Amino acid sequence: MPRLNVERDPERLTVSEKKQLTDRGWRDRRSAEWPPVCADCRPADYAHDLDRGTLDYSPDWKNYSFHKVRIPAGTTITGANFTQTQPDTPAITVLGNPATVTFVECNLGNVRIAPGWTLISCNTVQSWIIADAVGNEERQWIARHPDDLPAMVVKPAKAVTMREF
Amino acid sequence: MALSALIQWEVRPTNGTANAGGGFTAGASGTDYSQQNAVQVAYTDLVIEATTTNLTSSLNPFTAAHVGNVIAITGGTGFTTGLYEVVSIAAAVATMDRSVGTTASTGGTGNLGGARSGFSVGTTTLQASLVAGQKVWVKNEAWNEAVSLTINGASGAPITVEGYNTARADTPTGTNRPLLDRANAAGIAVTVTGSNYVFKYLRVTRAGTYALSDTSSFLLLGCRLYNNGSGAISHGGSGAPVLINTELDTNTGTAFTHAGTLTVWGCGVYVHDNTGNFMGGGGNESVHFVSCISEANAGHGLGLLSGGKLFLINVTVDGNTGATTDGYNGSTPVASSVMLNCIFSNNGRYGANCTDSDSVWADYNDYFGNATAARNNFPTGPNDQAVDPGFVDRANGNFAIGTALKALGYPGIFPGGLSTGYLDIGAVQRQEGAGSGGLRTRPRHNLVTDGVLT
Repeated sequence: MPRLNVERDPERLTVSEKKQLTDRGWRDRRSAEWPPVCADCRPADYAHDLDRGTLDYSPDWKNYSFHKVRIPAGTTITGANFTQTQPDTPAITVLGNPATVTFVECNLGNVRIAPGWTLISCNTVQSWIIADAVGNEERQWIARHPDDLPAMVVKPAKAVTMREF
Repeated sequence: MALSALIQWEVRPTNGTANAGGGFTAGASGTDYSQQNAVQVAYTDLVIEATTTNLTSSLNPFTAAHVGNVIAITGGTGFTTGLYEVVSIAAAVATMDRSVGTTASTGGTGNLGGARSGFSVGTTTLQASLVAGQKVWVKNEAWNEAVSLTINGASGAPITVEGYNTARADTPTGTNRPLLDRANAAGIAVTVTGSNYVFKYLRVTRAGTYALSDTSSFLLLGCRLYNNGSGAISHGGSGAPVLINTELDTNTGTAFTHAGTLTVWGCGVYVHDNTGNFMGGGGNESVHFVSCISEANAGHGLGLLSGGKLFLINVTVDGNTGATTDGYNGSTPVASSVMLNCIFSNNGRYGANCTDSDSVWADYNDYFGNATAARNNFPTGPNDQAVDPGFVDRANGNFAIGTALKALGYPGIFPGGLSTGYLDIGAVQRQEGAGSGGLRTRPRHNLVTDGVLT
């Protein structure tokens, strides 16, 4: 496994990467650069810290919080974190047919679960954070699994904002 | 009287019985019937004698072997349900630790011996019956309940909850530790509003919100809190929580959230792959961490919002991801804060980032590969390093360093010049290869397996 290896030698960056750094302050992440999001290097479709862009699954990294992730069919993943901001987020795409994948002790909080996936002892809690009128924040559990989400989730009366993390 | 502080309880979540006696007083003269799945005696004809602490049974007369065992009284007119200790036996009359009900009541029901199936189950729950100084043994069996611990321990007599695999005190590791699996149900797995609890060799997963909620001092030893819906620990009060050889990982949100003023102590703590910071919240915290690792979290490796005291020795903070994620992110640590022999590497923004850290004495730290810079408003030590730690296998959690930071840690030469140390920088010291001759050296201590902490 390569160590964490974000390229920071200006001499080894491409012209395009240097231009990205100049224009927007960060460049597109190269594959296999870890950690996936830094001040100067992020997935090309990174939007903000709660929508961190797309990654291809790698056994070299386990924390995919707020990322969209592409996983080859037939993969077994143990102990990874795929938590998303909003309940029932379609964050994981399985590449291949049949689109089967096995998650073991993974955190699939707020992730939409597709048929054909095998889940073993995974966290599938659906939740959001609410804040009351004086700013106290609390994570509110909504359902055990995305299939159990009510048709329409109504925020409590005191919920004046909805913010994640 | 009351239940003895010397009672040791037995919980077998799958094979125990909700209304079992479940306890035995250490050192009592009788036979310990708590360490078995089935109850030893199921009473249906208990009678309260003239003295209301005395019980008899015609169908199952009391014997000397029953002394020290606990009876769970579950019913009967005139009986007060509860857990009672058999203090003594004389002529088949059992004297209990306290009054069982009304004189001359008959037809009482209850169970002596057998393991209980949980803390929250039964006519009278174990969690409501605990006494400072007692110990609860939990066997490694399938376990799912919301535990609420309201009874106070004492500073000299904590209430200890200890997991075991096959025999008490076998100090299990990995999957041999009991697993409280809440299966994504709403709420907190273990809520502690009492004080002075010690938890050993347990795992908690898939709580709807937090694995553990506490409001005072507690100690976690050899535990793992993972895959929980809001975080590993929520602390709402003051006190001094202590975490030893404990893993907080893959949780949604901040691993350790707090609201009060507290001091957190940690040694051998491993925090990784959480959705938020290692620490965070609205309170004023001081942290004292030695030989801890915080890596690959999607928030600050160590986020301290307040101006508490910082005491970090040989801590490794690596690969925490995010455009505004720092290895250490703090505001203004108080005077006498210290940071020594730490590694801040490959973090998303700064290695160490403060509002004002003039009060911190920081030296002998290594900063490497942090995206924006090593430090921001943080002091540079004259002996700081900026080299690749050369972790052996960070993807698989092995943060033993390579040779570059070998023996560069503080202290080197001690005052007086008579002793010289060769401490490595970082949480995990190098394991040197075996030599071809000379003295055989003792391997480095493991506090748990060496029996130093049991």
